[in-house]
Amino acid sequence: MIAFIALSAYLLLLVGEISFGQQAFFAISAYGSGMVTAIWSWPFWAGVLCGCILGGLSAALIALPTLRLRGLYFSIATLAFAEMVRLTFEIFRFQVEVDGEMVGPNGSDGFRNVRAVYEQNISPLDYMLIIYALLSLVLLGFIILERSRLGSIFRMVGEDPLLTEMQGLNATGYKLLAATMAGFIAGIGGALYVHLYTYVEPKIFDVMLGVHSLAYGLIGGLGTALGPLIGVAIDIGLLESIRITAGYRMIVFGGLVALLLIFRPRGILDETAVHWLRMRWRRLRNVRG
Amino acid sequence: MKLQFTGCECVGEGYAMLEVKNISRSFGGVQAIEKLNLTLDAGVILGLIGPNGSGKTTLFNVLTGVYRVDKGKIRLRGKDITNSKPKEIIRFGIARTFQNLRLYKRMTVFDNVWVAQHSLPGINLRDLILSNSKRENLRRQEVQNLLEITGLIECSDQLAGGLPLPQQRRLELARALIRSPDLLLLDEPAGGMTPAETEEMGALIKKTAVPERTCIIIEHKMGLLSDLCQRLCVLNFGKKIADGEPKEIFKHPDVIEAYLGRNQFNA
Repeated sequence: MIAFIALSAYLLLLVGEISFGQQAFFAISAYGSGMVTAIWSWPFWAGVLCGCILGGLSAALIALPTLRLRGLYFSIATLAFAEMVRLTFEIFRFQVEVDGEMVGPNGSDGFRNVRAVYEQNISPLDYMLIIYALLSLVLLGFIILERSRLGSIFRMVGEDPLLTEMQGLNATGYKLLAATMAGFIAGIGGALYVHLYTYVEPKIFDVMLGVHSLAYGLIGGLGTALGPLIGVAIDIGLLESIRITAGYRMIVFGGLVALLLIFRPRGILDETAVHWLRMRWRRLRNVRG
Repeated sequence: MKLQFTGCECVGEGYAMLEVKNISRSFGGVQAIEKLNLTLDAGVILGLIGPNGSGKTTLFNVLTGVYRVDKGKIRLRGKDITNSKPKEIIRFGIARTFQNLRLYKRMTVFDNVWVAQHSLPGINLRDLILSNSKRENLRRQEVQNLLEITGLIECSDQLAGGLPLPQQRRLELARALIRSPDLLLLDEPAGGMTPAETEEMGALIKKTAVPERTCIIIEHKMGLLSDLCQRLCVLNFGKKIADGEPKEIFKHPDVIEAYLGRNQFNA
């Protein structure tokens, strides 16, 4: 699920913007999809879809004014927006009685009893498969994107917006599109998250989640969509699982980010590395063919 | 007056390709271009010269919509394009290269030319997202052909940032040519090149020229210009000081003064 939000931050990094606010769309989707399934007992898949659309829509709405900003100012605006969303959920109460129980977001106490998955008899294994299926779907989308003109436009905007305008393309428009898609992807993660844990609280969506999701892209590399996933694997798979680093995880993580920023500012799998791997692969295939 | 359709636009035949009328542009107190007039017919190759800071590149930036003009009008085939945005300008059929190279350095050579096709008419949503149709393969073939002509085919898989300078300049030219523009603006296409490389560049520009394409070349290398251009235009301090055939231009007293200073004894 973290992978979704990492991919969402990655998409914005592609168009050259650093967003500290992707967790907001994660949160909006988590609450939104949780509410429709728990309060109005929509089916699970409709809840996920609803969450994604909410995430995408709110991202588009936020992107409209903030994308006029550049660089650092955009980052600050997204950070402020995300905190705004989190604090709104701290005071957001909307409880309805369902089957003799109060259900719904309850301010800073969080939002409990999102039981759609259990009520609709989806086994844990099935649920895991759903997560992986959606993740592969998103990845497949990214792979298609990378080969398409659209994907190259995103990279163009990220590298040189003015030059991209001179190629007859509306740079801001494509940034907006990327932001919307990023919100949608974060939304998938949020909807899956709330249904897995049956519970969310505003505290989960603090700035650290956004910083982490950003760092995954920067560690893993901006050359391919696999980059952010490698970032997630390094942080969660490696650092979290190695006992020695248990208590020091954040320190090690911070050090890792600092080291990478010095030696590989665009991540382990940056464009050059991906290009080199691609050439290697082609040569290997030619030798065999 | 006959009307003809090229692409989606209706253009008149009786008009000059480019008509620049009385344009001015200043930056703070500096008058970068002052009341400049210039008319170019289709197929003319014009050399634009002048000392550093005389407003040559500013003229390109004004023509391509990077800067707005303070006063004056610019017409392309009779159509008023004054103060259009850069993204509109290229669709009108003006393409340019840059003096200080502007490539997507993290993309391959092939991709750098390929991306210039994105906004061509006829690219639909499906081409944009899937980019795998037959038409798309034809478009890729066009890119390949152009890379072949510009001698970049061997390095088409390399990242553009890693190319030596002459190749980067060729790549910029290829990127402009893939649009088959009506008006081609080349900003120092041989800047920083050795004499041999300059000669190659000149041959390439000649080879890729088409009869109806108008071309403006900014260059300091006179050998290249007198070889390519039928007409030269000299700017100094934002004003046009001479315009005509190369032979006349080199004898023009104002031009000699601008480049070498006033002759104390004759003055």
